[in-house]
Amino acid sequence: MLTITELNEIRARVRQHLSVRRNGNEVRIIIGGGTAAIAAGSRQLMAAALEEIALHGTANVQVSQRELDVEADEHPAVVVAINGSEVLYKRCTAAELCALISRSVLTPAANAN
Amino acid sequence: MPYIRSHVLICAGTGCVSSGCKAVEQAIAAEIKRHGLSHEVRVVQTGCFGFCKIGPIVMVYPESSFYCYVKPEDAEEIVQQHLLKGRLVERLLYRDVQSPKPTTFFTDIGFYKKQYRVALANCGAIDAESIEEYIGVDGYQALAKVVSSMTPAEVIHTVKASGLRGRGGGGFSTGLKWEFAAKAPGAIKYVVCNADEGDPGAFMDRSILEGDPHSIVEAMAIAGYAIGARQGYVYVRAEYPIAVNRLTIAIDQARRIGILGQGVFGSAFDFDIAIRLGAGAFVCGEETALLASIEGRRGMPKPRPPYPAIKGLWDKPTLINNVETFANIPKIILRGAEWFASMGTENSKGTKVFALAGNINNTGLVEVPMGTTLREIVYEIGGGIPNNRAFKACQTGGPSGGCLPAALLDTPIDYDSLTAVGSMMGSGGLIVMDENTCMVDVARFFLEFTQDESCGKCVPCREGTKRMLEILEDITKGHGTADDIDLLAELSTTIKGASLCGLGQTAPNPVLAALRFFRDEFDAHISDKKCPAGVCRELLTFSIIPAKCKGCTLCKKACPVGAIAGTVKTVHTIDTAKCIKCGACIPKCPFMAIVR
Repeated sequence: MLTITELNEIRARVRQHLSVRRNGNEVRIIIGGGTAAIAAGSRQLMAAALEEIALHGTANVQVSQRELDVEADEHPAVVVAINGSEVLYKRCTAAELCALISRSVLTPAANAN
Repeated sequence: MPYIRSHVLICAGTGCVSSGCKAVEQAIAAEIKRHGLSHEVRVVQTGCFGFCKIGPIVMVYPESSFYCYVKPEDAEEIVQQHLLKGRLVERLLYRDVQSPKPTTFFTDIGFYKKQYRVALANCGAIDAESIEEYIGVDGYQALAKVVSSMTPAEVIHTVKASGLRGRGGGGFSTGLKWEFAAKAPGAIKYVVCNADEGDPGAFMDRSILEGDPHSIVEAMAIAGYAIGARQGYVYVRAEYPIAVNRLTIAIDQARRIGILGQGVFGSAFDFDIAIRLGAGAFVCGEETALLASIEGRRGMPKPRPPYPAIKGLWDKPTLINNVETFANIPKIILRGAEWFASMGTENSKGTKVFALAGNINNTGLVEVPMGTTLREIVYEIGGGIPNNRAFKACQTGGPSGGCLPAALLDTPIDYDSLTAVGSMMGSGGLIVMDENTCMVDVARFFLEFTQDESCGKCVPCREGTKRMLEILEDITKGHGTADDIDLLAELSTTIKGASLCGLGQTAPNPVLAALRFFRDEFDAHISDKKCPAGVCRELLTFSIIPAKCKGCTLCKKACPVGAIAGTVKTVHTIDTAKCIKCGACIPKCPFMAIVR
């Protein structure tokens, strides 16, 4: 029979996966979308972001896409929102984004200040 | 484990399945694959979102974008624009009937704003066929809590303190029912889930079974622990194939993972569940008839007492609760009796799910705290009456309830308030009727239903409803007499008092409520031989208003029996002897010259 400890382990694992459907995640990574952004490499940024989050295995991060208010030559752009406070990063590279995620995920409160 | 950035939830309740959600799901999955997004986007099939009118519904997370009326050909645009480029597909977003502006987020939609979901919390939110997703939203935590840290008496005390009352129609205290079953002597006891939902237009229980079947499995196990039962049965009608399938999957998963079976969560408590299919007889919703059907006998009620809690299935103490009642149990155990009792009114705690149907803009499932008024449900959640027609009545309680007029729109919905005004809560059917509805015909419809569903065991129900139906049919055909009203009232009193089970005891209610609130319509049918709403065909006379007729001949061409005479640019006339009152001419007239 399943034990309560095993039940709680499943819950913790699935909660992480279900965080995509939850409002109020501490850290939100919003990658600039649209044709110009894709041409400038936003898809590579997305792949790097997903890989980095998977590496940390955290449940408090959410990744989404939307068209950002930047010039075409400022792509790829990324907004990192920590506890509702947004910071826009223009011409962001995959390595820079991974570093941002790593910092935000590990110490979101510190980054918000 | 790869991180999936987006979940595309596709409603796979019966309503959306009927409107083609399977093809939409396949098309979206194919487009996701074609665009190389399979490793970052996941398609999830959920239970009912509740807003059945606008299906198939697709919800995209994390944005909570709510797309409606989605077709397979929309899949490419959703994937390419939303999932790949981060742009909303505006044309598929929900638009309120009052405003052309699209609503971007699910939580901003008027239909959902005033709702508070407890029993429906997981419907449309998780994959109904995944025990892991259920566990991920605290599923089976309540069962773990009761078997590891509560005594059966504490569980019953919690359910009693919550104030939960049976959601199937009776409204009896759930905690008291559990206590009776627990105290009944006997080593073998049973827990039964009544999923024989039979009210016309009601589909609350079906949606819970389709969207959150594990909550029923968990609640039944909790009930088994509380009363000392080791076996549960779900009695569900075979005409709910999706619900039966998902419930079967849920029970299999719970067994396979080691939740159902021997030694639940390492305790000394054993529990298992089996499904029994019903053939869809309305009377089998009555608990003694239901038990007879599970035992393999013809579904017919028997006199109570003894109540099933004392002598039920195979003469053993049996606890019977309805699906929606069970769906509240895990939340009550986890969040506490006080939390549940903080919602609702003094004697009706918690929330209630209603199937909103009829002449209403937003049809679907709604869950509101007890005490919410009919007006709030009809106008704020339901979006009002289509085509700005006037509200005439609201039917609650199904064939056992009654129609309430506009003057009672501010009645709070709770067990006692509805009973006080001559209707009842019932299982949660809520049918809205506009000014074009004939209340005599509605009374006739519900009596035709109960008469048809009467099992025939007791004379008052079998013969009495038949006679009442004949009288109502006479009235709607223009053959009513002045004595009919008194006769209907007398028959109603006898049938209510002398019938064996709830079916007969409540069958006259729709007629009594119609007589109470819409007596003028009965009088018009009987005395004036007129149907004010223009519904009862035998009482209609079609005629053409000469001043409006332009002689266009369109009505003449539409008449299937050649009852309309006239030539071009001359006023037409209808031969009432030939007219079959089919109404085909009315929509053809561009000048609104034909009246009935």
